[in-house]
Amino acid sequence: MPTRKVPVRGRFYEEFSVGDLYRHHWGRTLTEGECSIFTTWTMNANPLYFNRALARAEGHPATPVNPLFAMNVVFGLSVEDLSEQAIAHLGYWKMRFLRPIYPGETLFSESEVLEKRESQSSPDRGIVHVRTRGLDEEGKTVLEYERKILVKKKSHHGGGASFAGDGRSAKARIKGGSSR
Amino acid sequence: MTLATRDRLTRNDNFFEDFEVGDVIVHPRGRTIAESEHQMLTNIVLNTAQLHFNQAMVDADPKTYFDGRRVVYGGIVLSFVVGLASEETSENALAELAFDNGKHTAPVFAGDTLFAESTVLEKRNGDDRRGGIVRFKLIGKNQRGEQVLEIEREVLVRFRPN
Repeated sequence: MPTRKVPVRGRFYEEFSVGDLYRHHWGRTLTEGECSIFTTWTMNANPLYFNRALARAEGHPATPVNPLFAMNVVFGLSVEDLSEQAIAHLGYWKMRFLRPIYPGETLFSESEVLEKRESQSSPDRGIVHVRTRGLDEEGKTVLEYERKILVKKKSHHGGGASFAGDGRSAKARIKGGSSR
Repeated sequence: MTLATRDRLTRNDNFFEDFEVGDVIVHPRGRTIAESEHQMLTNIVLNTAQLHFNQAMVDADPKTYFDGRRVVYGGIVLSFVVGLASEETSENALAELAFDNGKHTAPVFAGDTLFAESTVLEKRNGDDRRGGIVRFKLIGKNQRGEQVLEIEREVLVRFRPN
C-alpha cells in the first residue's frame, strides 16, 4: 500500500557517537570557471587562482583551485551528515591544505567524530567536534580541518517533524512567526 | 610569460620582506553581503543546511534560529574576510597553507558589511626556496565594528625578486 513519506535529513546530537566515521554523499568535480568565479566573487586578489598564464609561470600545470573553494565544497558535502540539524557552526581548527588541487579533479569528503558534549547553558543542544578530510579520486587526503558544531537535540526538537509544509511551520507562523 | 612580465601584475609592497612581526594592517575595502549571493554560494558548494536558505523553517522557530533570521554560512564569511585581506597579505602568495583557532564570534546576516584586519604574528622560512611563511591573525568585523570572525592564517609569501 502506498504511504506518505516525510524524510528528515540531518543528524541530531543524540545520533553522534565518538569514533563514528561518516563517508559523505555525492562528491563534486571542480571546474575551472567556477573556481575562477568563486575567487573573484569573494574578492581574492591573488591572480594565481584566476590567471592561467601566471599560474604556469609559477610552475603549475593549470590554475590551482582556490583552497577556500575546495574547503567549502568538502564542507558542503559533509553537511547532511554533520550539520543539517545544526544551530550554528562555531569555528575551525588545524585546517591544512596538503597539495594544490587543479580544475577537473573530483573531491570527496569524510568525517570522524572526535568528541561531543552537552551545552552548559541550553538543555536543547550540544556541541559536536569533528575532523573532516577532503579526498581525491585515489582516496588521498588533499585538505583537512576540525570544526565544532552546535547541534539540536532530538529530545527537544521533535525528531520526526519536518518542514515539508506539514502543519508545524504553519502553526508556528500563526502563533507569531518571524520576529523581523 | 616571463618573470618580468609576471612581476608587473602584482604590487611590490607585499612580499615576505615587507612584513614585520607586530604589523597591523587595516584592509581598505568593505563588502556588503547581499541576500541572493550568500544563498547562491551556499548552494554552489552543496551546503544543505536549511538555516541558510529556508525562511519558512526559520520563521517557525525564531528562538532556535537567530530571532527568525537566516544566518550567512560561515565558510562564506571566512572566504570574504580572506578576500578583503588578500591584496595586502597574499597577492604575492605561492600558497595558502593553513588556518587554525578560527571562531565565528558573532553571526552575519544578509545586508551586513564585512571588513578585515590582519596582524603579523610570525615569520619563518619553510622548505620552499621561493618564499617564506607568514602567520597572520585575521579579524573580520561588521559595519558596527563588532568582531564576527577571528582566525590564524599561514601563507607562503614570495620573497622579493632581485
